[in-house]
Amino acid sequence: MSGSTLEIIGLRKSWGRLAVLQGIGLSVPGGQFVSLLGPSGCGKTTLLRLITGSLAPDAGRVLVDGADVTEMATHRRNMGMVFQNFALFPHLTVAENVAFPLHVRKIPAQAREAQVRDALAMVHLEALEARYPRELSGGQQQRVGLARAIVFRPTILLLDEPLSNLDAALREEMRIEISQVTRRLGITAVYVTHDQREALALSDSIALMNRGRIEQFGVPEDLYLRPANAFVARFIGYTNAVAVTVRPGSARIDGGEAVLHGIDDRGILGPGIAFFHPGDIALAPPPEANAAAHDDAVVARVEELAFMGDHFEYVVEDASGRRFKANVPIGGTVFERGSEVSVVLPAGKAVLVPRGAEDAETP
Amino acid sequence: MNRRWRSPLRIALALLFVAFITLPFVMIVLEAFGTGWFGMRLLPAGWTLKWFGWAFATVDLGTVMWNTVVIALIATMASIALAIPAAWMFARYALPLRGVLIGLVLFPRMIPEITFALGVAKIFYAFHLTNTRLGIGLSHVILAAPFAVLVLISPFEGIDSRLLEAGSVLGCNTPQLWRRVILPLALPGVIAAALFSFLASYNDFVLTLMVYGPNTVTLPVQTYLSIGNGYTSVAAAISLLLLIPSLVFLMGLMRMVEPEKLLGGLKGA
Repeated sequence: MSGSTLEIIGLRKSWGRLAVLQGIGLSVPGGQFVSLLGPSGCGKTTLLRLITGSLAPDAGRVLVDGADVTEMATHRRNMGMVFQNFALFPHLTVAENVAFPLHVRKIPAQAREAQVRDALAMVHLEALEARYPRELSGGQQQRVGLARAIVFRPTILLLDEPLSNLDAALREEMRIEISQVTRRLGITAVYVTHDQREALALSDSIALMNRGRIEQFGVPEDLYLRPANAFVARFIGYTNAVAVTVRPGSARIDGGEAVLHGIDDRGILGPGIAFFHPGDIALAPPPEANAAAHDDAVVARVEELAFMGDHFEYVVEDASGRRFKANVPIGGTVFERGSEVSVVLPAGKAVLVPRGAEDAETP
Repeated sequence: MNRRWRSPLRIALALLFVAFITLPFVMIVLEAFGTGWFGMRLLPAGWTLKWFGWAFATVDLGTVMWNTVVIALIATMASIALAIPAAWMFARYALPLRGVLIGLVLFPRMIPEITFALGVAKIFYAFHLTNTRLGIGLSHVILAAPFAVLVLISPFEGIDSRLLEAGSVLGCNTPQLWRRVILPLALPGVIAAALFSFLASYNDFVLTLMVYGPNTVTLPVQTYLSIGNGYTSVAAAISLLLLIPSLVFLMGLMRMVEPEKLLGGLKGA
């Protein structure tokens, strides 16, 4: 079974003078799992509600399997939805909640019961079918929410931050559950989240949104290894940024002599930003003590260090006030607070993005 | 004052208050079941059921009771039918002058009943609605609906809008959303509103007095007529009979509603 295709063309939505969505275009092939990732207020939930029809767009179209559903009433769109707060009906049991979409579709009792049983089995809740939602844990409630959203084989499954109300241990379990169920059904899924790890782990592709626009749309590896701009790089998890001037194959760190040799310049020449993961940055004794100074090193002072079990987390600051976070594995030299270190920025691990006008001050 | 005495004093005050409130009711019970209760006697000389016999003999109590209940049911259904959309509007939409509008809905309950009873009577004479059960039932809507609206606003406000969104994404059209989501969730409120409406109509005297006719005598009116005839004990017996349908109605409602679902509705609110 392959899911329905979803196409979004030029969607715009404003609340008064506030433009929440400024022309969103997105094409999701059937059976794909796509995440709308972004900070709160970026418009991702609004986009979801335009897809379901809970809101009407100011402009633009929503197409499912090529058919325009923009003007179609929500209840006719045949979409499933999982909510952040579960939104289970408190007056109905687990089985009745799951049967709800079948009841309103007037599915005969026999078929209905079989489908409810299948859906509950899929989320491992057969034993709890007679319970009321308030008698379930958060994780169980969200599994009921998932079963209710897929029981009628919707064209598209929409998930609105379904893990946000669960505690950390359950979140992982539920994430795997969602991944298994959607892939087994081959259903097209749109997943809204602000958590980049969830998006990376679950998605076939990610639309990273910011201020009502899609900053980048691509497979997770693309966003991670080739972020389109500084916003994407930061949001996807790069915490260290240095302003650089890029030449073919190398980048000179602005405000100093250090040069990153052998960097992947990605065709960006001129002002850029080099991003590094905390785990990729190494700390070494300062240049005086270490005659063969790396010319890709920056001299800095240790501001903070915290023991995290398998590594030390350092925050260091250089003379110009630039801060770096470095996760250093235990077992090496430990640098005390206030001591001088040289920050080794590995050119091979750097991710370069062009530096636009809005990024001028940020690194 | 000695701390030790405070608690018994409070209990005594509470009992005194309850006694004060229930004293008239006690008097009615004594009047209805007693004989030879004259002057300064504390209790009647004897006990009897004859006043109930008289009540049935002198008055067509079956018809009176039937009138009263039918009128109350008409008033209840019409009030709820009006109050649900009105309360929903007040609860879920940002209306301009919301406070003023709610005040206007309550207006009939803030002015003396006799004032608007006259107005209602004039309209009823014009449309020949007096002396019909339907007409009196509809006139009682003015008494019952304001309470029903007031009672329904807060349960409607309490319904999580995401449950409505869930219902509609999962396939409910508007009538289905009402039947399967909104009304079940607001059920405790709807029941309370229905009870208030029923009792407002069932106990009404002033307005009914203006619009009743020989075929539509209700229990409160009949009680008044019996007092006027000088049969205070019969009137007392009738007023006790007044209580029965309210109690039956109340218990019936309690049985109809599964307590668990009621709780679910409340929890969802």
